[in-house]
This record gives sequence, C-alpha cells and structure tokens, in this order.
Amino acid sequence: MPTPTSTKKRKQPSSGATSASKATKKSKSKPPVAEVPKDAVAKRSSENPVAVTQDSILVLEEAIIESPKNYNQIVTLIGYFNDPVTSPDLCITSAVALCRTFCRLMSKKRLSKKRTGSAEEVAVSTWLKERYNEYFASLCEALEREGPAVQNTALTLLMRFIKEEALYLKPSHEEAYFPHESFGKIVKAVLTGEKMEEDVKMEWAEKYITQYDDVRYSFFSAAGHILSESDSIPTSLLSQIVSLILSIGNLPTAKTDDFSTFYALPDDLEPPRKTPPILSLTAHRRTYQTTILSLLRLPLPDFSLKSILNSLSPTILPVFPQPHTLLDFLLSSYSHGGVLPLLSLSGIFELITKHNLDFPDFYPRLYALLDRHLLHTRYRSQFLRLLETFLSSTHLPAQLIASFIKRLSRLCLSAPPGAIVAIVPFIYNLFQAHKSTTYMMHREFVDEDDEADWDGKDPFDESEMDPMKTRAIESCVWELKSVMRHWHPNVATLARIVEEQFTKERWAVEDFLDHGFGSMFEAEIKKDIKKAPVVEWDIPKRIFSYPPVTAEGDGKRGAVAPVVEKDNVLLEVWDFA
Amino acid sequence: MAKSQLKRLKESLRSAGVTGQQKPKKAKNRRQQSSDSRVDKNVALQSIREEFNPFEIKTTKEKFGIIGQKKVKGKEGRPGLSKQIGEDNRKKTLLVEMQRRNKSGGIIDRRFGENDPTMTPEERMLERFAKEKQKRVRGGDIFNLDDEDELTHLGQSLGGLKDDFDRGDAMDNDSDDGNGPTLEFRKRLLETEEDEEEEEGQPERKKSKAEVMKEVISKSKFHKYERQKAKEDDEEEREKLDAEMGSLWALLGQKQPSTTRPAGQEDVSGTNNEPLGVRGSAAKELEKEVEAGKNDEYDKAVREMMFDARSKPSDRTKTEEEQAAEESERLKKLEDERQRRMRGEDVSDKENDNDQANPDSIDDEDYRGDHAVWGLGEGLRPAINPKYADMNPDELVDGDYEVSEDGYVDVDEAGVVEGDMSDDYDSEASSIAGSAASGDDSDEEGFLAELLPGTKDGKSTTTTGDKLAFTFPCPQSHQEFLEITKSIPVDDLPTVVQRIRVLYHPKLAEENKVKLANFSTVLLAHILHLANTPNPPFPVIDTLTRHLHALAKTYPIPVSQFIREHVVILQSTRISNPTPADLVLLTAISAIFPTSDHFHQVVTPALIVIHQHLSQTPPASHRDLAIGAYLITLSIRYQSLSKRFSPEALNYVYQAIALLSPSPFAKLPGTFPYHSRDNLRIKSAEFKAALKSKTTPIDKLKFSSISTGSIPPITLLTTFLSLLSHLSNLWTGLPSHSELFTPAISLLKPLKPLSTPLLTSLSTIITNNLSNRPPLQLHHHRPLPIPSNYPAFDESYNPERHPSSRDPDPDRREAKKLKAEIKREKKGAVRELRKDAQFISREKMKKDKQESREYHEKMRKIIARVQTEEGAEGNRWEREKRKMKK
Repeated sequence: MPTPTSTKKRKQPSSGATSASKATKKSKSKPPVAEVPKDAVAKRSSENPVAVTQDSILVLEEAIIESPKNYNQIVTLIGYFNDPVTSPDLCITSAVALCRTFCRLMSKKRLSKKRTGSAEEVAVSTWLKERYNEYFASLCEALEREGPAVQNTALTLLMRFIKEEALYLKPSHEEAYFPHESFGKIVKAVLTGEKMEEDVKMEWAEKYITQYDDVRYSFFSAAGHILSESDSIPTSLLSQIVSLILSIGNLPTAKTDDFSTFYALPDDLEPPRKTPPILSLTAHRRTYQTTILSLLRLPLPDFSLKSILNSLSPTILPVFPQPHTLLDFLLSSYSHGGVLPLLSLSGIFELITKHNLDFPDFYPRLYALLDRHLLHTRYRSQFLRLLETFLSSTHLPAQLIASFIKRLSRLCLSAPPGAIVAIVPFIYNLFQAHKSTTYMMHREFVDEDDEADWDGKDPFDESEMDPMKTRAIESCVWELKSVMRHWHPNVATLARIVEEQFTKERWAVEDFLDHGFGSMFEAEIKKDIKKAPVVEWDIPKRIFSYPPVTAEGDGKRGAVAPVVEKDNVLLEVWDFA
Repeated sequence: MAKSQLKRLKESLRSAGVTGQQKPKKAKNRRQQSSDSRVDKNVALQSIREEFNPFEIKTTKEKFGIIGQKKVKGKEGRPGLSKQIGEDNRKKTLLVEMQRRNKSGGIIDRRFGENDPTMTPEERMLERFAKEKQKRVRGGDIFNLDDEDELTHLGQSLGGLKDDFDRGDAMDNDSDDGNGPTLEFRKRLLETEEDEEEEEGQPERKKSKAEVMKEVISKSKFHKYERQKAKEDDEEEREKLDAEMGSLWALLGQKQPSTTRPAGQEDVSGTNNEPLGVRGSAAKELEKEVEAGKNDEYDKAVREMMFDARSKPSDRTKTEEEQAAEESERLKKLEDERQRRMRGEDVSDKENDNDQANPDSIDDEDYRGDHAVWGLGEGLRPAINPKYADMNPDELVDGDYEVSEDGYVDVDEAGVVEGDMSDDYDSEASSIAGSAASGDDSDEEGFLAELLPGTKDGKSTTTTGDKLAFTFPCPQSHQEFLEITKSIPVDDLPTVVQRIRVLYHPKLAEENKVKLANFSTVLLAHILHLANTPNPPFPVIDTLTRHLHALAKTYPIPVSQFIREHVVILQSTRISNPTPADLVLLTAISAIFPTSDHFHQVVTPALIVIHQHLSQTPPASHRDLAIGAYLITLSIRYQSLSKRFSPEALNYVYQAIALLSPSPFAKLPGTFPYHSRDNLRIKSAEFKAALKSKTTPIDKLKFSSISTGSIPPITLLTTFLSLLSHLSNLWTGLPSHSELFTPAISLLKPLKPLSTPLLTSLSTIITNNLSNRPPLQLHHHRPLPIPSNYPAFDESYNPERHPSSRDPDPDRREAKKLKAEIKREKKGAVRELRKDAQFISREKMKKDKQESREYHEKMRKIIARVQTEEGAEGNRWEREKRKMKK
C-alpha cells in the first residue's frame, strides 16, 4: 500500500505557491489531521468488515470529499467492496459511495495530470488514477458476482464512469473523445462473463448500445477485437454472445442520417473538420461488419447459426458496407445439411438480386433442397415463399419447372396435410404459368406407336440431381391423383382443383401456408353439432373380441381366420385377451 | 316554299274575320248585340300586327343543322309578348297583393252579376231576388244533423232502433226528428224544381258541392230502405224453411236430434219473425247463441255422415320372400346413402328428415349433459371373479331374458303394439315376445339374437338373477354409476346396463329421455374408466360399447358431443402419449359412427388426432411403436370401406421397420421422414434366433402390453409387416401405388426370411399396377370458350330521344329525369323571383312618381292660387301706389 499522506503533507505548501485561489480552497477543505489514527482506522475496518455499517461508509465518503488527507479511505472502501464477506447491500452501498467519490474527484480534475503541476500533485493524481483503475477493474469483476442486483448496479456505475471520463478526462487536443479503453474493459467483462445473468446483458444492450450511437460504435470495435482472439471466449458463451449482438437494433444503414444520440459525447457536438471514426457512418458500419465476420469465424452452435441466418437479410445485410463478404458464410451454410440451406437461401437471393452475385448452378442446388425433410420442417412455409419467387419467372425452361412439379408432388406422398394444402395450389400456379407442363396431368397418345411405347413406368428419374435431365416432363402427376383420396376431407377437396378446369388465374399460396394439425383440428372442433351426426346403422358383432364360438380358443394362438369378420384388421392384428 | 308576307297577312286577316266575306245579317246583329264587338276586332288586329312585326320576333341562329334532331325549343321566341304576359300576370296577382299589403278589411263586391258585363241591370236584379229567396228557403239547413251519416251498432242502424221504439210517440211528437224526412223530402223537391229553373236560365251552371252531397245522401237512404226490405223478405223465407225442417228430417230417414227444440217452442219465442232491431240486445245475444248451438248440431250431424268410416281391407301378412326383399331393399338404401356420404355429397334434407324422424320423436332437444363426469370416477378396481373371468356373454343375456319376463316387458309390449318404435329395447322386447320385428328394428335384432343364446343355460340364469337387484336408479353422473356398481362384479355390468335401459325406457315416463341421454354419456365414461384399469375386461367393454352404440342411435347429439370433448382433451394434453382409454375410445368411434363418410362431426376430429400422433411423435420406445401400430390399425379400419390414402400411416410403418431392422440402412429409400435412433433395433442374434425357433406365424400383439410395456420387438416387427401388407391391399387402386410401395422392397430385403411372402406379393402387385397404369388424363373438359365482346348495339336507337333517356337502367333514367326537372324548375323559379323583384321596384317607382307628381301638382295649384290672390292684391297695391304717385 502506498502512503500518500506524506506526499499530501508535502503538497500543501507547493499548492499554495502555484495558485492563490486553489490554496485558499484547499486550506479550507484540508485541515491538518494526525495521520496515524486514520491509518489505524483504515486497518481496523479492513480487518474487521463485520462492523461496517451503511452509516460508517457514508461517513468515510464524507471524509474523503472533505479533505485530501482522507484519500487513504478510498483504499478502505475498495476493501469493503472487494471483500467477499460483505453483504450484497453493503457492497452496493460502498460501490455507490466510491463511485460518487471518484466522480467528484474527477470533476475537481484530481485525476487528470496537469502539465504545470508540481511533482507532489502529479504523484497524488497518479496514485488516485491507480486507485480508480483498481476500482474499475473490481467493478468489472463484480459483474461476475451472484445476484442480478449487484451485477446491475456494477454495470450502471461502470456506464456512469464512462460518461464522467468522457467529460472530465478528455484530452485537450481531442474534440470527440470517447473512453474506448475503459468501455472495452466493460465489453470484455460482459461478453466473457460466464456467471453474468443473460437478462442483465440484454437489458444493458437495449438500454445503452441500441440507444446511443457512440456506445454502439465503441461496443462493436471492442467486440471485434475480443472476438478475433477466439481462444478467450468459452464456447458455451457463444450462443449468448450471438443473441446479444443480434438483439442490438437501431443499426446504421446506408440511408441512415448523421448520428445524433450520444451517451458520453456532448449532444451539441460541433462536427470537427476531419470526421473522427466515431462520428463516421462508414466507420461505424465497417466495425459492425468486422465484428460479425469475426463472430462468424468462431465455431458457432447450430442454434445460433439459425438465428443469424434468420436475421441476415432483414437486419445484418443492410448494415454491411460490403455485403459480398458474407458470401463465404452463406455458401458454407448452403452446402451444410439440415435446415441451414433453407435459411441461407434468402440471404443468397438478396446477394444475387441486389449485389450482382454470380451464383452458378442455382436451380440445381435449389432442386437438391427438396429432400425428405423439407415438408416436415418448421421453415417449410418460409422456403415455399422463396421458391415461389424463384420459379415465378416465365422464362424458365419447362423441363426445369416440370422437375420441380414432379418432385414436389412426390414429396406430397409423405407429407403432412398442412404441407399438401400448400403444395397443391403452388403446383396449380406453376401449371398455370407454364402451359407446356400441363402435359403432365393430361396426356393423350399421339399415335399407335406412342401407345405401344407406354409401359406404365414412371419415366421420372428420382436420383437425377440435375432438374433439366430428370425427364419429369414425360411423366404424369399420379401423386396428385392419389392425394385426391386423402383421408382429410378438406385436403382431398382442395386437391381436386388440379382436376377441374383451370379457370382461376392463380391461387394466393400465402393463404395456404400456415396450416397444421393443430389448426385443422381446431377448425373441425369449432364447428358446432347442428345436425345430429349419422350413426352407423349396423351394430358390429364383435369389436374387441372374437365371436363367442372361438372365445374358448382365445388361449391358443393361430385359430384366427374362419370366424373373424372380413376386413376386421383390428382383430387380425391385435389380441385383446 | 313559304308564302310571301302580303299573302300571309291577307290570310290571317281573313281568318280573324276582319276582312273578307261579310257575315250574314243575323250573326252580325248578334255580334252587335254584344257591346264590345269593336273591341274584339281591335284586339284581333293588334295581335295580327304584332305577329307580323319582325322586331317582335327573336330568332337564335343555328350554326350547323343536325340531321334528325328535333326542333329545338326556344329557337324562336317573342320576348315582347312573353314579357307582356308576365307583366299582366303580375299585375293580376303580385300587384293586387302589393296593394293589399299592410291593409286589412276591405269590402269585396260579390253581388251577383256585378262583374258580369253581359247582364243588364234588370237581369241582375231578378237574379239577386231569386238568390235571396233561395237562401231564405234553405234557412236552418246548416245545423240540421239529419244529413249526417247514420250511427250504427253491430251493423244495425241506431236511428232505426230508436224509430222502432219511438214509433208510438212519434205520432204525437212534433219534433224535427219525427217530421224530418217528410220536410226534407219536400225541401228536396223544391230544390230540384229550382235547379231546373236555374238550368233553364243558365244551362252551363254546375251543381254546387252541397247539392251533390245531398243527392248522394238521398240515394243511399233509398238503397238502405231497399236492403232492409230484402232482408225482411229473406227472414220470412227462412222461417218458412224452419217450419218445414221436421218434414225434411223425416225425408232423410233419421230421428230429429233431441237437442233441437220442438217447432212449437220456436213459434212461442217467435224469434225469427221480427226484425232483429226491435228486440233488446240481451235477448238478441241469447237468441244468437241458441241459433249457433242449433247450427253446430246440424253441422255435426252432417260431418258425422261425411266421415263415416268405410271398411278397409286389413294389411295382409307378408310372406317371407317379401320380407326378405324388403330387408334387402332397406339395406340397399342404407348402402346407397353411405356411398353418397362417402363421396361427400349432401344427403338431401328430405331423406335426412326421414332418417331422423324416429330419433327425434324420442330425443329431447334440450339435453343437459354432465360432461364433467369423466375423470371423476375413482377407485373401482373390479377384481375379476375367476368364476366369471372367462364367462360367455351369452349367460349374461339370460339375465336379460329373465328381466324381460319380469313384468317390465309388459309395459313395453304395450308400446310395441301401439306404434312402431325404433328404439333398441323395443326391438328386444318384441323379438323376445316373438312378434315380427318392424324393418327398423331388425338390425338390432342381430345384436340381440347374439345376446340371446341358442342354448339356454337355466342354471346360470338363476344364479345371476338371484344376485343382482332388478331395479337401479338411473345414474346421472359417473360418480353415481360407480356407487351403484360398487358391489357388482364387472362381468355383470352389461346386465345392469340392460336393466337400467329397460327401466328407464323413454316410453315409460316423460323425463326418461333426458335421463337416458345422460346415462349414455355415463356409460361412455365408464367404458373409458374400465379401459384404463390395468387389465381391461374386454368382453364387458365390448358389450357395453354395443349398448352405447344402441343408445347413440337414439341420442346421437349428447353421445357425440361427449366424445368430441374427450377427443379435444386428448388432442390438447396427451397427443404424444395416449392412454389405453383413448385408444379404446377411438376404436369405439370406428364401431359407432360410419367412418367412410367424407366428413363426419365425430370421425374427422378423431382421424386428425390419430394422424397427428403418427406424424408428430417420433417413436422413442417399443411402447411408442406399439401405440403407433395400434393407431395405424385403427386408421386402416377407419378407411376399410372408403380406402382413403394416409401418408402418415405409411410413413410411420416405414420408419418403424427402418428403426426395428437389425442393421441400419446406409441410404434410406423413399421420402418418408426418419429420426434416426438405434436403441430400438432388434439385436441380430435375437432376430436369427427368432427366425429359427418359429417358422410358424408369430404372436399377435397384446393390447394389454401397451400399458405394461413389455413388448417383444420381433412381434412388433411382424405386426408392422402385416400392417404394411394391409395398407398395400387397401390402396391397390391408387394410381401411385408403385411409388408408395417401392421403398418397401428395399426396406424389406434385409429381413428376408421373415418378409419373403410379403415381398413377393408386394412386387407382383407393383408390377401389375405399373403395367395397367395409363397416363394421367385429368382434363377431358369442354374447352373454355374465349370470352368475346360484341359492341353493344341498341336495336331501338332513336336520335330524337335525349341520351339520358336512352339509359337502359330505368331507375337511373328516372333519377336523371327528376334531376333535370329540379334544375329546370329551380332556374325558372329564380328567374321568376328576379322578375318579380324588378316588377315590384318598378311599380313602387311608378307609385312614388305618381305621388310626387300629385304632390307637386297640388303645391303648384296652391302656389298658383296664392300667387293669383297675392298678385291681385299686389296689382291693386301697385295700382293704388300709381294712383298715389299721380
């Protein structure tokens, strides 16, 4: 522990020499007090923290403010704060007291080195600065402590310091000063804080980062640094970081106006001649881009990838100054298995249409996405929406469209009713837009040779990956004919639209996208019973058991066939003994 | 070619009679008689002058003539003339009003003929004298009430009544009332005479309103008198008929009804002789009543004769062949209806009504079900009596038989005799009683015939009968039912239910309908309760379900509502893990309701639930697979008639086979969703062992194993294989059968020895189907006509008509017409008002000028007078002055 008392003592005359006004002030605020008892008090209180009360902390705070002689008490307070034995309430009180103290000291310029100051003054300010840094670090550590109350307070105090620092520790030559270094510490503490509550983090992001432009810039530049040193982040935190970064809103895009909401910078800031990066839109966007890109380099879990891909085209892409930098990520997720390709599709689409991306083999790759899981995933409707856009061009070759039609109708054979309900109008629209594919649902033999060649086999090649070579256009959509006999009455009725005359221009597929078992069941149950339901007129002879003749033979197995009612599967397969 | 100006002038002069041939003298004289023949001439000349003054005519020049356009209104006008007319009109109306403004009173000379210049003073005086006389004669006419319409009561004239009553007094009384008619008559005579006179004098004169009214009144009085007379005649006639009634009865050959009064009595009362108006109202009422009674008697007698029952041939007993034919007809009708429902066509309302007629008559509409019953039931753990454990349901029914002989039936038999009831118990009773069942009952007859054993076991009957009570309260909640059946062995439950149904048959009491409806839901709750017990007694559940079926026929709404509520609970809370009770419920639905319907209020939700489970619950254990297998079985059973396609069932079967097969597949065939999981696989050693030990068909799955959870995987596999073959058989007709079942072949290959028969049958079906499959031809529609738009051509186009009147919409046309009229009128009104204002100011100015002129004149006169006087004086003074000077 350094002993500042001696320096202070020495400082007193010199201060009087430097400026008369200051001297008078100081002489008022610092009456000479014996130093020994103060040290003793400090030691006692640090040794015996149990005795500490809120009042004593407040007394100490008063003392520190009153005279520089009592600066040593800062150490005592930091001791209280850091002591793990201290109760959370006291901890918070001491932290707040310390914060107030440092803020006042800062406002008195005690922490900033003066060029003209004497050696003693410099020593005091250096020592104070060290204490301040010490306290700052321990506040950052406090973010890891148990309980959201402590974490919240610590975070609020830290942000308060950022504001004060920008105000009082501003170097004279810099016009727009933001304490990037201190804020970087906070960002690091928050991002890598394993014990920190997620709610606290989210609230912080919403309250400060989303709202203030300067904080956001500083956050992204700090986060970019932290994320690029990937080994410093535990993998378990990655998903939390992703959700934190994705929760940040109010991001600057190319169309955003100049920044105007500042946390630390003065609101009425005169734009300097040379725009500092913190005020520049491009710099802001670039830091964001770097952060996201370094984030994407990390081994993210699937869950986080999905959420990134979902918010890619609505939020992330417009911010990027160079959207093509995302291409690698998009391509790798496109070739990834599972649902990721479905999600990356919208991003790729945007790159192709808006940023002139050349994407070879787009349609074959799209065709490959129509796999067995497609119609069973949650992202089914999202994909179908995009697919409708992709296939809406009337200049696409008929073979290609035919392949998609055939493939989709094949998938209908194993699809849930909700998906079939969406696919049927979709196919209807395709038929309507590409008249040459209607051959698939109505095919008459041209001549006898043609008839002789027909063997009933489906010419469609399921394993062919190139939609231009599947020979789907020579095939027929028998699958849709089968779907017309679906068990669900509404699905069956809907499927009949393919069979009827194509009088409707096109169906709004959007209306059919969001159906599922739940909604269908609800729709059925909502219908009140108005008419008495029809009851089977014939009471079956036996439902759960064999007719009495063979009832004795229940024990023996195999004595089945003759007595069982025709077509009674239940009794054929199950034994109700 | 238009005539010259001169010619036209001549012509018009001649037509006006100014020039040309002289009129005969006589006519001339007549004209001279009228004082103003010269005036007339001048007027005519003036008009001719004006007509021929080109400055009076104003023409609007037409720039381009339009062919076919009718003459434009207002093209030629005489502004001077029209202005003059307007001015004259105003002078007649507005000026008069103006002059009369702010003035009240004033005497108008309405003396007769004062304004008629054609009358000579003598004529006028004569006329006036006549009028005076007339007025005096008409004297107090104004206050004479006799002219008013007569007051009436019940269609009878009050005046008439009074007349009749006062007839005696009338002679003495000299009041106006009494003498009214005669006086009036006289007056009227006089008037008509006068009128005639007048008419002679002035043939054009119209009748005044009062005169017309008088005429009308006199006419109506005359008619009334006539009517009264006719009525009296009628009464007389009727009296005669009444007197002859006795002889008429005699003619009809029937005794005179005792209630009719003897003729003498009628005579005494003499009711019909006198006109109704004479009697007091009370007497009249009485008489009317009597008359009505008499008429009723007569009507009744006539009606009796009309509706005398004619003898009819009684129904012939049908022969057996006829009965069979009828039965087959009925079955055919039912099957037809089912087919129609399966195709989703609406069963027409009429037929539906027929269907529902019987249940409706029994079913009470306001059913108050206690649906909260389900789930409350607790406790009853029926220890299955070993004695009854494998008892035949037949024996239970013997109990029924006993019951039915126990006096309950008697009541019911009465019901059977009385009407044809479709309710189940009736048919039971009737079949027991050996009476021929009506058509509607025969389906249940089968059920009963089965319940009734061919071989009657007397001993067991007595034992059951001894133990069981014969009467039970009708349980309205499941709790109550549990209370009742607490001490009754499970196997006796059907008997209990049977007895309750007999006891509370809707024929026996009014409230039984509601009670039984409630009981039907209680029964269902109990079935589910039984199914959830660890070892469900299936024979009992079976019988109870069939009881429920019979009840559902009578009370379809409460039963299906209860089932639906249960299905909702199943869907929302335990769709991924249904209880055995849920499975039993779904099975019961398949038995009770026609599952082949295109849409059905109960079956469709149940189907959705089944398929939701199959689609959304990836199997995690063998128990899950067993539940899945059961649901697939149900799905097949639901579709056994309609053969509908269910992707979920097939997906599940494939997935189950892929999950159960001893080794995982490198590349899965087909497109079914697959959640890979290895803990379900059959160990290959086990598989081989199973194959070796049993070449015979392997066990069937036990339903009880779903709750116990001990399921041999090899049995599961064989179950799924057999389900697969069922599905394949079910969907043979589907056009994409081969696509659906091709994946099965590669799935089944690793299971070779076990699946060989299935494989061969599948591959033959697939190849058969493929070779028979024609290309799809869905669109044999008539080609759609290309919409063509002919120009709208108006056949009756008339250029003369205004475009707005050519509007085909009559309403719009009318509206437009009205609008135009309003506009026109408004414009006209504005114009008139403006002209009025101008006129008024002009008149005012004229008046002012007049006044000022008068004033100045007056002043001038005064001044002049004064001046002359003054002048004279002045002159005199001047003269005197001159004199003085001289």
